[in-house]
Amino acid sequence: VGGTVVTALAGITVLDLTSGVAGPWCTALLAGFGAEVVKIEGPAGDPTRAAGPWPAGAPDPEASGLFLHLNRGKRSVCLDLEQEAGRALLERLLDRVDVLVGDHSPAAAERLDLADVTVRHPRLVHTWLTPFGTEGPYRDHAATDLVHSALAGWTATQGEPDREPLFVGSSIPSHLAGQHAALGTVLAVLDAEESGRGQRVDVSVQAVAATSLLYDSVGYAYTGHVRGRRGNRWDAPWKTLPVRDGWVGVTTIREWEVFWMVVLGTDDVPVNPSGLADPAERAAAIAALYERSRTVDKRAFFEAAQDLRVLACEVLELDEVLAAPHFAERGYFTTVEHPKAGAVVHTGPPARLPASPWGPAGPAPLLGEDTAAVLAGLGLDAADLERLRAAGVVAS
Amino acid sequence: VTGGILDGVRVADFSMGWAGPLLTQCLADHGADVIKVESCTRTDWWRNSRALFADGPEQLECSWEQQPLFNAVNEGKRGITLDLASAEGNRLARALVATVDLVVENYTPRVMGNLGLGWDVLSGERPGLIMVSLPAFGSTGPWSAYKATAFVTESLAGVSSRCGYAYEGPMLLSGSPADPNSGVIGALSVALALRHRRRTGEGQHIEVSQVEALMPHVGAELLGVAATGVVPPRTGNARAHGGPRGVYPVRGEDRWIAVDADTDARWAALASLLGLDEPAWNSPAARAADHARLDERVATWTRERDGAEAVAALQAAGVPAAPVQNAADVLDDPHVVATGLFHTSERAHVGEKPYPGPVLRMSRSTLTPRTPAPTLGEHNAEVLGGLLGLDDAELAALADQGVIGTRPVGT
Repeated sequence: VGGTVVTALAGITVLDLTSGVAGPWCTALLAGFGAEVVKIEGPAGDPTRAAGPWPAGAPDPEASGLFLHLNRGKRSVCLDLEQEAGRALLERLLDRVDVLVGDHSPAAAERLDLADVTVRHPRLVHTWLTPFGTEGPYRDHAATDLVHSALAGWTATQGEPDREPLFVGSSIPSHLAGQHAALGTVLAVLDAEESGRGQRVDVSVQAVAATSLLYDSVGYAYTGHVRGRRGNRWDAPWKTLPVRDGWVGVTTIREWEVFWMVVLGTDDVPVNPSGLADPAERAAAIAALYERSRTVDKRAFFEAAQDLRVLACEVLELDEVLAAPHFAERGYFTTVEHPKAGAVVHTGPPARLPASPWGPAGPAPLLGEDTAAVLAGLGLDAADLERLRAAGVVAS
Repeated sequence: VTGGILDGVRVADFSMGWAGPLLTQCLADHGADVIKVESCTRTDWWRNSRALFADGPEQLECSWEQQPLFNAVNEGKRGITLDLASAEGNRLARALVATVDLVVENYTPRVMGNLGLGWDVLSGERPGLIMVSLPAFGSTGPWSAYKATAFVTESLAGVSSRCGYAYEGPMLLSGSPADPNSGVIGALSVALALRHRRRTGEGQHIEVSQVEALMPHVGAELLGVAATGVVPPRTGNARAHGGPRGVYPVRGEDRWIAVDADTDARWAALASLLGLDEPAWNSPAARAADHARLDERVATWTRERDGAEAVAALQAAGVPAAPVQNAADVLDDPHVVATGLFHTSERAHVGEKPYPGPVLRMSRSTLTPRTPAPTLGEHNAEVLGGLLGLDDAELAALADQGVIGTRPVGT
């Protein structure tokens, strides 16, 4: 076994026709593990270039935080697929890559002749990531992460019982779907390398979101109970408690007396509300408990609880995540210099594979940054490129 | 005729709960032979997961076999018991590992080593072995020994901080997405490591720190905070920019729909459908700033409508919208039903129940049909006899010594 470190997807080339979150996160994972990813953007660029947040302060399509997060280590070719000449170039690129990742709606895929692309390119792996899949009654519906969360059962259980249900707050369904798409892609690559045959891999965000929430669907089927919203109330299975500098999270605390003696540093321990049947007494005990918990700092609470082997946490705000010594000691975050955004802090490896590690080389690309270089690889010369530019088929 | 992509890959699965078992279930779907190892003294902690759905204590025959969550994430596997703390159980575990390609475990970092089943030992049993560990915080760093379930890793990754009513405290996530998240990242890691091994012959010990695997979900937000130092406030269901985005009441008891005008075009469609034609709302910034008034106008429209009717009208206009569905609604959802996301399996002790199936649809490769989650020790004879060559007398002796069995100790 050699000592050379190689990447897991060395030698794999990916053509990325996706935009938004799910598809780009799929190809970001492939790029992170060593694939060469060429992102095709239309003349307007990926819409996430307009999304923010703005690390350089002001809105700039070359420095959108969401775009930078999702597209690190990829190349960008600006190509107008609405034009016949653009589609012809795409077809030539498809001859040269191992994987196509697309996210077109079924109708758009028909129009671009992508639905059965593996028939024309039998060695190609075609990963097709859509909101609702390519069949079924919602196949043409519009969706966002809010919509996916609502439909899949996530939102109904989130929030206070007497208020509106709450969105999970970030684009978790899309990221999760991108991860499943990456898994399907690598599995199909493993197969294609052995058999010489590619295939289509279909993934829908809705399928991922609905099947990821086991708690409610299967739990309901077994017990007939539909879980409702419990918010941060004391009777919720896990909930927050207020502390001096924010919130901590707890579940049932079994060794109540010892736990609060250690956390509060006194044997004057608050009453356990769970032991009280009378609603008024219980409410008073909860209020008294909160008054006591507010005297403790979140980090001290978390570490004291864990040292007692009590399952608890602090709820970190985003600046506290970035500052946490644990992540620093593990070297999790990485800083990458970007020509427009400056020094950009990126999340690190989702998994650590010591023999074939994570590490996309470069920053996210400028729109069309690699158009000339990639098309030169197809044998186009400067005059060809100029003609295509003038016709608006390619940019930059 | 093609088979499953992972046909011939064998897995010794020491994991419990959700993340690890989901990882190995993903592999089983594609043909891997997954052997789940429990013990009668230490059953999978999800054999006690039903309490989350029950109002109080239940009297159930063989309760450990009637667990919805366990039975959902352990389909397609074989199950054995081995008391890993006994010398004989330990020896058999190592003998099992010598026959596999992959070991999966999700204990806190020192447990496998303390059982004499750490990477240094197991990699010696099997050249080219791949092992996946899924510790909450990773094997190094000041929090490495801390224990966690999903709400803990979600809170320390910053994910919980993005959920909450506007300008109020954070809300712990009710659905525990940290677990399916780690599971699929782990499965992806295995596929990557299999390619690496095919090219180099080299195995490796993969670490999925569950909190690190979660942070990309808020990667853009973290990137922004790192650059500007400004932590954006919680916004409830609203967008910080553009919109409106919200969860609005419709006819019926606790019935709601989600509506998200995430682009200018979709805002124009929503405004046209609902008659929201105030020029003051022309810019995304103005809509976000005035979202309370805008939300009230949307709610006025939704409140007098049936949810399905409102969603149909919004979707027909091109506006992302959906009912807020509970568990019963999800199982009945016409799209979920039409696309076969759930299948039913007949299993001992619980009869026929629905379970979520594989989400990947492959045009050429075969997905392995799911078999029901194994009962405790169901495949002891098949695996320890068939694979490791123990005879009936040896199996009987192991049962006598309590190394293997089919009931949890103390039941």
